[in-house]
Amino acid sequence: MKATKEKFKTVKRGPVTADQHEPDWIHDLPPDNMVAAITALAGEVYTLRERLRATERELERRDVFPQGAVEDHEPTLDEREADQKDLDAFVDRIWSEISRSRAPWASVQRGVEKYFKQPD
Amino acid sequence: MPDMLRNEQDVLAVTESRDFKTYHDFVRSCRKYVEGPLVHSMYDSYRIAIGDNVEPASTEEAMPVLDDLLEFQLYSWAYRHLQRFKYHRPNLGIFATIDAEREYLVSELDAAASAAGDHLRLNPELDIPEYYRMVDFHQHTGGVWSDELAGIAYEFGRRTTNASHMDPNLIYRMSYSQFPERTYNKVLDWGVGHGAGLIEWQKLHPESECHGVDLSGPCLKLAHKRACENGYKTYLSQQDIEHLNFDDDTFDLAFHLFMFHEIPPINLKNSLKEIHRVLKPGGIFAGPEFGLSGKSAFMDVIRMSHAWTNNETYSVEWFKFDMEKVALDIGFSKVTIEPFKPLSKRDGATSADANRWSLYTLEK
Repeated sequence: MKATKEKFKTVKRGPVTADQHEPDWIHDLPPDNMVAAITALAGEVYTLRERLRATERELERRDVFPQGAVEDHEPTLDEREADQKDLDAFVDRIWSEISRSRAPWASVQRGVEKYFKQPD
Repeated sequence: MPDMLRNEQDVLAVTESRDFKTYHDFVRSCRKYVEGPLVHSMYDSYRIAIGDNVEPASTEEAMPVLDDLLEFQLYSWAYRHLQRFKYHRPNLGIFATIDAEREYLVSELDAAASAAGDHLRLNPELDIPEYYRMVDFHQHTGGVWSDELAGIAYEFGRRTTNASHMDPNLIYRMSYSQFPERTYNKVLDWGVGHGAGLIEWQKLHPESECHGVDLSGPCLKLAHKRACENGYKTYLSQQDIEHLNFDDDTFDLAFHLFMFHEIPPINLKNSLKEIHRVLKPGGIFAGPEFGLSGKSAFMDVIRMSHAWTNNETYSVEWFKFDMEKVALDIGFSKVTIEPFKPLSKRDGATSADANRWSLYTLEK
């Protein structure tokens, strides 16, 4: 698999063929912007976390759940196994993005340029 | 649900979890951001980068300006990778979701196909054109033809591009509303795909005898199944549009949606000759297609970038195709290319809106 030699960083002037590396498209992302996006995402996660905590408290106060039901929750053995599989798959989905193959996932075959011709 | 649907239980459906729906709402919203606010922000940055200089008149001049813009880089990443996130996520991607019910889906499609008679003519021996095999259009891995469930994946992909509250068939009705008002007894959907366009035509025009051709057997099987679910008797066949097996002067109307940019120019010309042959004298070949603005180098670079990010590989050559000359040379008596009105005057449209759509109407 070969890396493409392009005149531009992101602008392409031809197909990404199956024998090429998947290109990098983003070259000028300022670290500050990246940190800002992560901070924004963290804000969203914390908001969700707070709502979940409030929901648990309300369920306990209204005796829908016994006190400490979530905190003391003990999964069954089968549930533990299922939870572990779910967790493993979760980690895989996130970390496999970092170790992802650079082969294009959808192919344009080499030589396709022969069809780049206008009729007589 | 269509009025003529015979029985809800007859409808072939993939099980969609709550997470699947939520996830695809998220991906779709990312796409909406990319096409809207990100492009507008990109245009603002483009203007700042140009400064007091004259705005680039050509795409060649605009490319280096855009290449340095973070917005363009993010746009390109998104156009490339959101398709991957749509199709390929191991838990919630379209392919994984469909694959989980492969056996059931294949057996249902096969059962409908085996009972189809003249309404579905598949040709496993068909020589699939090389240009079609060489490109996984729109990053649909394996193309929309190589897997038994490719038609269902294609149909899903369409749905997850539109907002969930929107009618995915609206685009068909918009297109048909622009065709010349006539009675069309015999019509051909040129690249029928998953069949939604032809079914929508039949709903609006019950008088028409509806035919559809496509290279993809899996798509045709799904299209047939969907037609049956709606209580329609359509005639679908697996054919190469360069070599149709219909008699001369067969159809009053042939239509398509956005097919031209997926076909290399020489093959397109050959296909136009064939459609001219099978149209009746006075018959119409019509459909919308996008092109370059010719006025905004900024937008044209963006439009051209889809060729390489989203495997719309032949589109850059399509942009150079002289449809009027080619169609008149072939023998069409009248060629009309006009802005596609339903999408030309959208609320909030600005100079930074990405697509320039035209309606192409060719009369034999």
